[in-house]
Amino acid sequence: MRLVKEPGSARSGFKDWYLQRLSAVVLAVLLPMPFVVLILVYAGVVDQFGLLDIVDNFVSRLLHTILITALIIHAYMGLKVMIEDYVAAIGWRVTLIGSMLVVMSGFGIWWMAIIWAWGG
Amino acid sequence: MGYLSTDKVKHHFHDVVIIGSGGAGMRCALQLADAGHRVAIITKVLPTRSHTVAAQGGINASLGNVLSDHWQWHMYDTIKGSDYLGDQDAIEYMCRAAPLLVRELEHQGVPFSRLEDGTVYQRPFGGQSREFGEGGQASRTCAAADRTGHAILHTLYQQNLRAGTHFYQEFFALDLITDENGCQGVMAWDIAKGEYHLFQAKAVVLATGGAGRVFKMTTNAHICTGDGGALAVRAGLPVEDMEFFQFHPTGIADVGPLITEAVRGEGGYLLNGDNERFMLRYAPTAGDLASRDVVSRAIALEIREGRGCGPNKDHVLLKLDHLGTELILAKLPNIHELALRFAGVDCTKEPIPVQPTMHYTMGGIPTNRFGEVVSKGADGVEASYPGLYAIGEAACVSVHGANRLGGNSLLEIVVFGRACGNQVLKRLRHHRYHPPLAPDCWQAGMERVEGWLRTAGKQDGLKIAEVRLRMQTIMQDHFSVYRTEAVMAEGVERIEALAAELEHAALSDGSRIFNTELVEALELDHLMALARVTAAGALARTESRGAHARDDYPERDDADWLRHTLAGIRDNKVELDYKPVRMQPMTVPSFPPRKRVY
Amino acid sequence: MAEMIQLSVFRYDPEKGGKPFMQAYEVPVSGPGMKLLDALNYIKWQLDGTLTYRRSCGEGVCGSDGLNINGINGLACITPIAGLKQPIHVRPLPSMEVIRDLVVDMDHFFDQYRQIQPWLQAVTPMPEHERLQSPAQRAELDGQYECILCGCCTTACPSWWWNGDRFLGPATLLQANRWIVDSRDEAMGDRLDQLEDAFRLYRCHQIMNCMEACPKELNPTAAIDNIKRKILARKS
Repeated sequence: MRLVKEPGSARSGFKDWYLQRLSAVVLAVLLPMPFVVLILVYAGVVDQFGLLDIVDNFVSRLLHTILITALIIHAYMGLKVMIEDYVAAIGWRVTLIGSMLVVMSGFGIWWMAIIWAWGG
Repeated sequence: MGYLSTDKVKHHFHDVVIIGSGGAGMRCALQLADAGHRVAIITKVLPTRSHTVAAQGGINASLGNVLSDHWQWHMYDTIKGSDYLGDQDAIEYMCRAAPLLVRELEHQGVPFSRLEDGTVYQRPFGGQSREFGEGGQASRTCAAADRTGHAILHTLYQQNLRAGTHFYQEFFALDLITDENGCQGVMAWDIAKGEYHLFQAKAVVLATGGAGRVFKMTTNAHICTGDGGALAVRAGLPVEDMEFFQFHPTGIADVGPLITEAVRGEGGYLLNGDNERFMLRYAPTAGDLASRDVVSRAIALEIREGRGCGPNKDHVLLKLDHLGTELILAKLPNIHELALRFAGVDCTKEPIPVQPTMHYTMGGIPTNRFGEVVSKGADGVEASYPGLYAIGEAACVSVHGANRLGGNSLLEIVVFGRACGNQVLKRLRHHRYHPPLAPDCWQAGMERVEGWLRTAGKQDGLKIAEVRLRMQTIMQDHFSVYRTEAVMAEGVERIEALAAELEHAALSDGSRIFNTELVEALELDHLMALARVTAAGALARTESRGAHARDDYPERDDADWLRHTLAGIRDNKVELDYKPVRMQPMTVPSFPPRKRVY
Repeated sequence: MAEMIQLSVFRYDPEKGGKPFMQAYEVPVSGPGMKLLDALNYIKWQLDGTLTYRRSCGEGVCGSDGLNINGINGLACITPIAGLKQPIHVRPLPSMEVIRDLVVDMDHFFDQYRQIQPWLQAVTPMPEHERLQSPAQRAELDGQYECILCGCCTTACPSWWWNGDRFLGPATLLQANRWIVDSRDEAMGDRLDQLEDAFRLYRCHQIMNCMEACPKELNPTAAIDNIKRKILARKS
């Protein structure tokens, strides 16, 4: 007799794995950029107006959007795996992952609103 | 309705029960499970722990992938290798079936090494020739690097998983259930849970492997304790040719692990203390690839005459560094690992210290070429024992006679595993139901365990391990490569005395859950029975043949001794009997005994 | 007086009950090449017959005596005493249910092995001769087929500790890959279907304890990566 009744393959997991790696690549490319900008500011190369020009620029806004999306996806996937690892009860898993999804998307929408200056 | 007069024994019904999960047992199980039968394998270990896993070099088959080959040449070599004690009908059957069965193994998934054209790689091995000894060295041994046994055992296990064979793992077989209609099943002890099980079956197959642990220095696993042979002896049957234990020429000196003959097949050779390739003196044609008994005796002679190596001059050297690191790592990776771990030697740079080490049990439960256990009836005519079968190293068909050729043991297990499966299928056709058993038939089996458990904690009892070590030492000192009348007579006396002392042995562990000391005690019962018949058989055989080499009778004696020994224990006395060798093959002319030169 | 080795061995007797404890033993050195199994055998045969462990071949090919030795999984029969810090802590394989002393229940481990259908599957009829395979195709199997199912890698994997009921574990996945890379096997698609699961396969987070633990020096992590790449390839 089997010790564990195994539910079979859920045809899942690939997308998570793929998105996590894809978002990691995006982060590796884009994440240094804000730091570069910050360093430039602190070094005095860019002043406040220069900084605003950079941030306001359409391409910057686009990159910023991609960066935040990748960051949220990456964090979500990573935390999801951790919850799956350490939380055994399915009810708790779904609740925690669900609330994490809500909080993270809320954060994402709020950030988008700032980048694209929605409503203002 | 209760079948048995106790509720302490769980009663199972299977079509076939196979004791042992090595290559032979699993190949047999596969044949039967694929035919839709309810097959149980009872094994005292987990299924992939059986000793087949340690076989290294390969499996013989006249595929002719490297050099042209013929099964009749293979047959000739096997008969010559057996020193003419092999039964020629069985040998013909095995050699003819070999190519088919090796291809079948390949189809089942064994990861054989390959030649450039994609066919199975074959290497030269000891005792092989072409054209009946006239055409030089053959290349007949199919190999999966030097892990062939591992590859075959795992593949057969996988196939049994597919076929749905029932595994009762870590169950110890205690007693065969027999009545006037033959063998009806087996009593077993669940080692992990400490419960009794009775397996009733229409056929019982003993596939328990060799009895190498009767000796102190052996390449065999701790589990090779001859359980099947001893169960047969308990059931009043004799065992055949037990005096023939093969000493492999190249066990790692002092520790035991085997260095495969494939090392010499690939071009390695032996050196003595004078740095001389001494095998060329003993076997001018075959050299280092002479038959195992010949090489072992040559090494023993070199050491005895003071031409050994090392500070104690007690071993010789196996040189293979000239083959090149690349070939060694590709074809002999396991040897490289073993030499490093157990001899502390990097064999790509230095030679490996080796000495002859007990390796294989040629003898066993007498069977015919269908795997049926045979015994002499009251009328003196040989007949098969209904419902009882034996295969593999546990059996003596006899295809190995007095000396086994390298690469023939893996072949034997698949050929006779399958043949036995087919024979059992025939029996199952007209044995459709389980007959009622004597309600008390479980008692003898249970008493074995309870008897030992009662000794637990007894004051001044002998330790199991101590008795075993004494037995192994006696066998090693009195019955190894060279044997003489005086030495063996003393050995027989000492082993009989020790067998009597076994009564005073006691367990220190009285637990029922995973009591491995109890298992060792039950195994010691088995080893002791086989040591006794081995000793008696060896003393009686006044000739030198194959692995049985005597100083006082250095020549083979075909007039008196071209016959199999049958040894059993009746009323606690060893009884010897003999039967003729079957010299008539199935379809080809007989190979009459000739002088054996390599 | 021979040099002595100190051991501290995990003991648990289900019949006596109570908590498991570590018992100290002292064993003489038998020779320069002495292995841990020799020490355990000495204890069992000379000092304490109740010590319980599995062993068979004694040369590292059967996989019986996988143990946790000074915190690292390995086979007792090929672990030299010489390199070990004393007292040598000998425990059963981690995260497994202990039956007694050093013996653990391997049923679930073998059950997971069975789950991946570890046998050759092909639909083309068997040829008269062997299924041909070039030496290069055969070389793909090196580092895959040598697995002895000792369980050292799987029981060293934290992912398997947390989700062993659903994550197949490194040993089983290595064997899954063994059939995926075998040129004779024709069921790669089915095999990948069965493996593609957030728990069965993707619980591997490349912790790489498995390749550290493997006594046969195989690399299950690389095999798992190969499976993931195969799934990626057929999706893109």
